[in-house]
Amino acid sequence: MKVGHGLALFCACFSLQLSAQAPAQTTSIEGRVLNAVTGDPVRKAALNLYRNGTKTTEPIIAAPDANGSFVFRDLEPGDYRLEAEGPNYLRLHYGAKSDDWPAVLLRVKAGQPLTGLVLKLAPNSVISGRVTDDNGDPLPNLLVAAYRSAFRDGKRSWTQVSGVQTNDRGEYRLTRLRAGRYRVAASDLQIGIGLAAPPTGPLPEKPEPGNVFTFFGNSADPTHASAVDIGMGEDRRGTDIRIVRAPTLRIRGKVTGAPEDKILMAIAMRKNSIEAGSTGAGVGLVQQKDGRFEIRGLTPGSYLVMVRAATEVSAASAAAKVVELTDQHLDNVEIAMSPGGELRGNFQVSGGKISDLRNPVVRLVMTDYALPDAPEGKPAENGAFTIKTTLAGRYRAAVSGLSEDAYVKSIKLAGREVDPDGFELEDGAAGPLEIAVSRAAARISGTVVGDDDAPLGGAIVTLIPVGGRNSLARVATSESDGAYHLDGIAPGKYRLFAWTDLEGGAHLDPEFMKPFESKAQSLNLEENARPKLTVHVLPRDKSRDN
Amino acid sequence: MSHSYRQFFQRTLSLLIPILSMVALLSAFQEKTVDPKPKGEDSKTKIEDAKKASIGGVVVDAVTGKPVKDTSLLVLSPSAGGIGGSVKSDEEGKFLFKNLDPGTFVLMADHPRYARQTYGSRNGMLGGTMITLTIGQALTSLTFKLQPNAIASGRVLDDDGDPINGAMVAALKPMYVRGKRQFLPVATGASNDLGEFRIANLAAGRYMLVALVMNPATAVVKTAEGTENVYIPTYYPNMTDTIGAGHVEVGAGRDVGGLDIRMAKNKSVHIKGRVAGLGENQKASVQLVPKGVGLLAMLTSRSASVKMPDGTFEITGASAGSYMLRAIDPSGMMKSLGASVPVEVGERAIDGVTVEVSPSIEVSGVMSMKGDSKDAVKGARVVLEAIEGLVIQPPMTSAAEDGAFTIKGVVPDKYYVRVLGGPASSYVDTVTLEGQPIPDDGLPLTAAIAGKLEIKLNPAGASVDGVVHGADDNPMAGVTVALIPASRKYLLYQTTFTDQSGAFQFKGVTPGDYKVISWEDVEPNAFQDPEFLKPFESKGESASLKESGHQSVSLKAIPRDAQ
Repeated sequence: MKVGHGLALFCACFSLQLSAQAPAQTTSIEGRVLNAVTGDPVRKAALNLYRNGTKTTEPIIAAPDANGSFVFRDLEPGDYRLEAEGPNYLRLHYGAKSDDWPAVLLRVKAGQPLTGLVLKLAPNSVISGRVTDDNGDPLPNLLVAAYRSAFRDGKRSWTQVSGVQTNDRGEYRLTRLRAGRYRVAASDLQIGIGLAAPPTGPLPEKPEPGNVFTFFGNSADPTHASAVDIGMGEDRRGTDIRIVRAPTLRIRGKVTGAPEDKILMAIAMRKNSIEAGSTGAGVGLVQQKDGRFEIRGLTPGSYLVMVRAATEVSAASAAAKVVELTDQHLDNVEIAMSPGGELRGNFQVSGGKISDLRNPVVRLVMTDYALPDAPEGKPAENGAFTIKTTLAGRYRAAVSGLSEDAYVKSIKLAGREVDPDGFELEDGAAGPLEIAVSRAAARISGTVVGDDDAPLGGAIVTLIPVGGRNSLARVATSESDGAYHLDGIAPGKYRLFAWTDLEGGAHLDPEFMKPFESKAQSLNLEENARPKLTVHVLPRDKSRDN
Repeated sequence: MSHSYRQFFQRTLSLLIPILSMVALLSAFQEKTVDPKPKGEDSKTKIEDAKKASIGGVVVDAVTGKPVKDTSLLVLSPSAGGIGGSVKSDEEGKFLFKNLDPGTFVLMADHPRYARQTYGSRNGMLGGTMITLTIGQALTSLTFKLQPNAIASGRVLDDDGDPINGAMVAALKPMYVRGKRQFLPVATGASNDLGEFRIANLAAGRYMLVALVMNPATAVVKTAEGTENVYIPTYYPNMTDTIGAGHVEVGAGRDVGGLDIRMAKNKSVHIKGRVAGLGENQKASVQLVPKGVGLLAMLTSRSASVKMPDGTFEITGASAGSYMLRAIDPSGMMKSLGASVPVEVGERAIDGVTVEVSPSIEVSGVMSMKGDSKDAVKGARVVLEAIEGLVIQPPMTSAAEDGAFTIKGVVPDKYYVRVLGGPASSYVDTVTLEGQPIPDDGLPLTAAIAGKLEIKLNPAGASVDGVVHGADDNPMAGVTVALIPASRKYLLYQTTFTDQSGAFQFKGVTPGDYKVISWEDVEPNAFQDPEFLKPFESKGESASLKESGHQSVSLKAIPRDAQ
């Protein structure tokens, strides 16, 4: 790790020298920020400008004045992406169809300021309502979440996008939503002083009645959930939920090897599902005295019971176990807090060295549960890295910070090649995790043209592997002159598409893509290929109509 | 996806913190009033079931008298190590805690439509009746009257009158720490996209309200000129200091609305630096703690995570003022990792601050009984109470059978050495380090400390007991009783609350001269402030205690309106 740090410093100095030698002439980007509904200037927003192809990830920041006008002064010439966000507005990727797609590249040349940019920020949409019990009495302190119908890992599913607690009148407001179709559900995490109590007495013999996860439409059954369609900036009131009472179960257990000086919480996370993503379902405090805990109010299903420091959001010190709840309370779940396994790894760059890459990082993302963060490893100069892992389960290896000419050639775990999009990591797996990167990536550039064969800016370009892994797919937004660039492409067979609009993630759904396959350009790319290709846009995406 | 988890996590945590601090507060003053386990018995030996005590009763609405179902009840019992258990009231409002070891208990109730309150408390959460149970006693006829929620509601606005989303509004109650008046957040609410907030679960009374934005991404506002401003903690209605801040009076079952807080903004800068001395893969955060805000530092500090492996950090949103900068363990209840560095923030960004992480000190020692007492010191806890600053969980440990103890992970600082849970009639006779008595104003611990701490307990502690009566000469339950040493030595102050029959008891009192004074309702520990105490000194009873001495006193509670 220390070596890696030295390296980063070295590189930072190096790039600094480069910029010192660059032409002293600077340039600027100017524009205005407007409310997409009213056209009024937006004053309370931040503009974040990201330099393309540099090692730093920190944006350059500007703010609009009273007229919504902003200016980035003293910019070095180069390629930039611009994003905007405000407390009452959704994040905007400049030039992209939505924030699911990358912002368009702004190519700024010395002495040629870019002016007249107009950023139309979509005001937040809101869903609000009240949660009550059978008698119509308000239920305070319940968690209400909005689930948006969206593509996740190549499948259309309902993904949690916002969550709030009801107030003393049972009221909630789910804010920062974008226009679209939602489901809303309330769950009772039994947040109260009882949370701190140790399990006492024997477990009840039968399930006990309790408030269960209930969708708007007053059903615990997702197929009976009512959808809520909201428009841009709309405040949809009266989305009231009457909570369903049903038998609930408890999980009891004991934590061993817990650090003495920490207050720990046990959290039950529901497994990822098409209906509701992966959500927190219950909590209990771990008794400092003997490590025992109890989580109440659960319904049958698969849970990840995770133990972590109560004051720390990061998962670094967590331990967890997957349990199945059937129709009975579960006792004696033992969770061992070990200092943590260490997965050793090796990052090799064929035809180059680590320092040729931008800022390589390997992250292990658990696929079945939505954990707050993913353990990661940064390779040192010799390519060695370690990843702290404690939880066994199914993971995806996300490799980022490569250079434009690099791609992941293979990932091996303990000598066997694995699918980077999904592999099992066993308890105490020591690795090695070998990541082979090649600097012979293919790149594609060209122009997107419309129905009239004229260059088309703001189009979405997707490059989809044929029968391959999702992580090989590449996307871009075409520039105002229709130009697009895709890089870091692994050799293989692909289909190339351009769209005037497309819902985020839809390109990874084979079902969705099937009808379009015949309209794509088929490619067989070799290492270092640099084709220049003109792409015709497809007719409008129909996926938004369902 | 992880975003939703974070929200979930932070919401459960925001509830947990006040409970944990209440538990810590309660356990600190109850310790001495607890009867020891029968002698000769290992503390792990269970008392036979027949000898177990129970507490039960019915929960009713204080206004209508109707039973309240689904109330969460929590019993705290310091003798059993904190939280004794939790039950819910049934359809008829009834509840029962069984199988309790005899001792002293505090009962708390939580129901969404009622104030979060302690049984017998005069002001909601703080204080309350100490319920004493003897062997086999079944006290099952308690009536726990729940006060309907008092609610403070309003909006959080910026200087244009636009709503601020995601601000926290905390209701504050005064309390004294080591003679200084401070403010404790007792309940919080968050503002929504319309700026609206509601703080429910309040007990009727007077509060101060403070609005703050904890998330640096929301708190820091960029200007078109390229500078940064930060929302600073603002007291209702628009003050930036507790002095002159308005009070809000809320009544039970009432919603006091329209409490709009217009948040102040100050120019802010970044503070960059490095934490030196961290271990490989050691997680740390830095915290910029404003000076002189006491307990509010819990909410008003600005923090940033430390980037490994180089240990660098960057704090945003620092506005002009005097601060202490410290490295903390983010998972360890804000535990310091080393000494704090004073930082003066002005108009300019600060770079190059170094915060040293000190190798934590191990303090070991031995505790013993003076003379030939056979009382076991096993299980007695040694607590190092920092003289300054905010510590949620002070370093502490329990003595082994032979009296040996080792406290690990102690940060260099000045500490009081306190003993909790020793044999009930004992007091701390001497505390020495390498034969040298430690100063009254605390033990300065540094990395260089080599010697052993020697704690001698004296079994011949004195005791004071009595009953408190009200103006009508009836015994009063749940009122404060303070034992105030003539020497004004901080460690000798004791405080308790009367039990269900108005009785109280102080055991293990260090011989000397004391005043015993009772207040019906007083800001916690206010009597540690000589200014506060002056007009009341004549109202108490004097106690002049010798070794093993005993004195009984009869007290009149100083009524609330006499303060």
